[in-house]
Amino acid sequence: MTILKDTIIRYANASYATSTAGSTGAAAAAAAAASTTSYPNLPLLLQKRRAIASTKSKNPNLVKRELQAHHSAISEYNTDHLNHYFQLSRAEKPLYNLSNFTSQPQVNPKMRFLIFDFIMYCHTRLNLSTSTLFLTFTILDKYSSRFIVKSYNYQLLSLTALWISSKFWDSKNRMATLKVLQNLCCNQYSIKQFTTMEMHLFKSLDWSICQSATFDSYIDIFLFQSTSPLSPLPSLSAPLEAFIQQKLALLNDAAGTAINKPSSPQGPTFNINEIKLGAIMLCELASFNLELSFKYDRSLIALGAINLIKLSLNYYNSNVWENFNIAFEENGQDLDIKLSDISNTLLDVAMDQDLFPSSFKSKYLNNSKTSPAKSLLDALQNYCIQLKLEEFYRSQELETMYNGIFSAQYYDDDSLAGVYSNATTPKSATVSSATTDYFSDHTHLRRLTKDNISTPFAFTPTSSSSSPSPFTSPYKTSSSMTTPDSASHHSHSGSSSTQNSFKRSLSIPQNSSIFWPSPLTPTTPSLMSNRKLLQNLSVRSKRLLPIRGMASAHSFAAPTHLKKRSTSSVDCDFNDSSNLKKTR
Amino acid sequence: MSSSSQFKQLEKLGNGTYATVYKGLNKTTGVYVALKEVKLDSEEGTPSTAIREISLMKELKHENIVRLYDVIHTENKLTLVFEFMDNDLKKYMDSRTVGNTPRGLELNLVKYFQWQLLQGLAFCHESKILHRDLKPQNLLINKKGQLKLGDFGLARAFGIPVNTFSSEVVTLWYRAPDVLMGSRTYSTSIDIWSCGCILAEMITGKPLFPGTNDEEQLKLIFDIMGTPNESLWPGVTKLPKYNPNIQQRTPRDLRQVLQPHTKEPLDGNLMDFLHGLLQLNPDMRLSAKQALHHPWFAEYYHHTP
Repeated sequence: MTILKDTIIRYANASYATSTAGSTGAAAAAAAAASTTSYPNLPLLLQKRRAIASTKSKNPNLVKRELQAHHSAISEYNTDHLNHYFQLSRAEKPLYNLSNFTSQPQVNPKMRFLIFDFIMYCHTRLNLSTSTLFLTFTILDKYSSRFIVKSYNYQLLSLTALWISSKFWDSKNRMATLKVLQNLCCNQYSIKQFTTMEMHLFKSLDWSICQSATFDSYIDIFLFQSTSPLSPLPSLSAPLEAFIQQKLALLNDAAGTAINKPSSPQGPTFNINEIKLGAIMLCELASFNLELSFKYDRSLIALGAINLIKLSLNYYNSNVWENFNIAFEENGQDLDIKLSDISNTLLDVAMDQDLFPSSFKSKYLNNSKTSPAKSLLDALQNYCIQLKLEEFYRSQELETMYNGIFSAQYYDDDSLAGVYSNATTPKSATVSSATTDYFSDHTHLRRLTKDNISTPFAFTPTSSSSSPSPFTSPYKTSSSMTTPDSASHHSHSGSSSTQNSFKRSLSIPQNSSIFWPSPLTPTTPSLMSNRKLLQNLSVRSKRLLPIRGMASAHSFAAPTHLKKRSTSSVDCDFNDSSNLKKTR
Repeated sequence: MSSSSQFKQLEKLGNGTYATVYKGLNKTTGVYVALKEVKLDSEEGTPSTAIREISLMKELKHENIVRLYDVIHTENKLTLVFEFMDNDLKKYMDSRTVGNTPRGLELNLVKYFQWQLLQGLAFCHESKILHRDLKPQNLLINKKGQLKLGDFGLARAFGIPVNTFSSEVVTLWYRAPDVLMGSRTYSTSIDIWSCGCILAEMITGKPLFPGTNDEEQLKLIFDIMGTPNESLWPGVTKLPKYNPNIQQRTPRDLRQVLQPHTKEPLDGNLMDFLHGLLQLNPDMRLSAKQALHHPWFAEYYHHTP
């Protein structure tokens, strides 16, 4: 065996001696490649390149036109490329393993953070391409999911991964050289160590490490699809892929048109490069996050990042607010929830500037006062604050709601007597039409909170589930309550089973009426004391009459207050009912 | 993972772009392989060309692309173990030369080869890979008449916002005019031009544009295809190496250029197809997928399910 090895090596040496081309180093490979023609030497090539670059810089139209040509070529293969990445993702998925990483004996998540920080710093300093950075990160995570990493080798491993990625992605004049890499780690490792580690990495990952579905590739392909609507994709069977396609279509519907016409005077305008930068920043931060990099599919994270950036920019530039959580929760699908989790984590990561990796700070936040990256982060933070505020309001209203329920128990029976005797069946027809009006009038609200969707159900007492339509249900219950027996005997402590069910069934609609007189509002005491008003109020609120209509139908004391509170009270209702259901 | 002792090294098959290729015999299975030896630089480790070729070919599993079976590392070199193919298209065409006059292939065979070439190429483009060095020497054939793309030493993955690539790619004779004039943001169209040149070469048996340097190459192309202008190819005058003083030529009839070199009549479908590949303006060239649906291939795609 050794003899044969020797002969092979001798053969090889002989061939080196005879062939001069190709051994002059990587830089000459391109020249050597076209072996049929003799090429000028490297300095000449460099001159040529510079000449071309300067011509190009003088002709911005040329660059634009070339880009267009490329785009048209790409758009034809768009679906294939997306499929290609999905396949790569599927193949890669088993390679990432969080529990294997956390059980590394010598390396821990904190060290990973520091190493990634270091790599990003080197990457920025060497001015390498974005793909290189993300490829390096995936190589590191794949390797550390499968093999034990010695702590003293971690830096060597990471630099070698950067080296390989750079050789794969970057053009020859930018490629990281060993000398530079050695300098970056203060000559801690020898050239021999680097080359050995390189070979070890290739062998242990079976050579297929450079073709990887990284964040940037997904971001590019998603954003590209938003600029040029592609031919309808073949329906994919895998749920994840189908889900992403569906979401992409939604994204494009919402924002794609705006991207297409960046010069359109009205409506939100997007700068696709801004979105890309923002998405890449988010994905860079996501790479530092252990959970995001190991647990979730990269396509989902990229999608979440793009979505977040778009929403934030929309809010920041045009003051159009949309809560992503609600859009996702509405469907309640497994993947929707995942996407919402991802978006929440991404926001958390982007919120705390103090926790940013220092390399990230120096890359984006150090130079000038107003950089696009900074405004993007501002937009994100604004969005996040608004999101938190909204959540805070919702929780506050929930609290009020609880108060409402407790206070309701003391007087509801009396007040309800009037209410339900008034609420006769003929009214229900007009009421239901009013409710539908309400919903058509306030569609924007419906989009705002998922819970609006469940609004009608708030009026469906949980105990009486037989009602076919949620809109008419309160009246059905009320008509059943007006049976002589229960209507006459609703005393303060209803002990019969019917009355119990009556109480229970009414507790939810009741709190919606009681909400306005809740202790937080200045109008409360007067309303509370005025039973007649209260009755009117409760009837109306039960019917879900639009506040507008209410003000016109009955001239009302302090309508402005009510108007002011109206939207929030509506939010509150739905919120409460759903939360109550959950707590039960 | 196989070791180098598993293979017996036989005769040299040729010099690739950055390596030497030998025929090899797998001693355990008795199967012939092609062994491509890459020297490892002590300063720069694995050459980027090898990294690209290996990582790209690992993913490319298609019947019209040469398979990479394994990579063996010994001391200071890498040995890439490829599927063995009997011949390459260049040698095959040379072997048919009678005396000094080259002879083209039968049109049926031309069509079969071109079909396989485009199948392989379409698969590359779908996988986001540009071959960038298509020429008869890199198209390998076997006795069954199969044709496979080989030598991905210059190939690379392309991104969506275009990366700028080196314009020093593709062997001169098969290099597209836009690349010759210095465009560096080319994409899949660069491989299509090469396909057109190869198709013409298969018909006649000799290269269509055998230039010796960039200027002559462009001149040869324009002599036959006509000189491009702004109306046919918007933006051409802005290309870095566009020469405004170049002699204006009107396009010649390709059929008249090719017909003298082949006995079989060249039909309209074939000429239309060839024109589709050999468009000066890269935007106008067919894509590999479109080309596969050209009427010239009607007999093939009607039979494929």
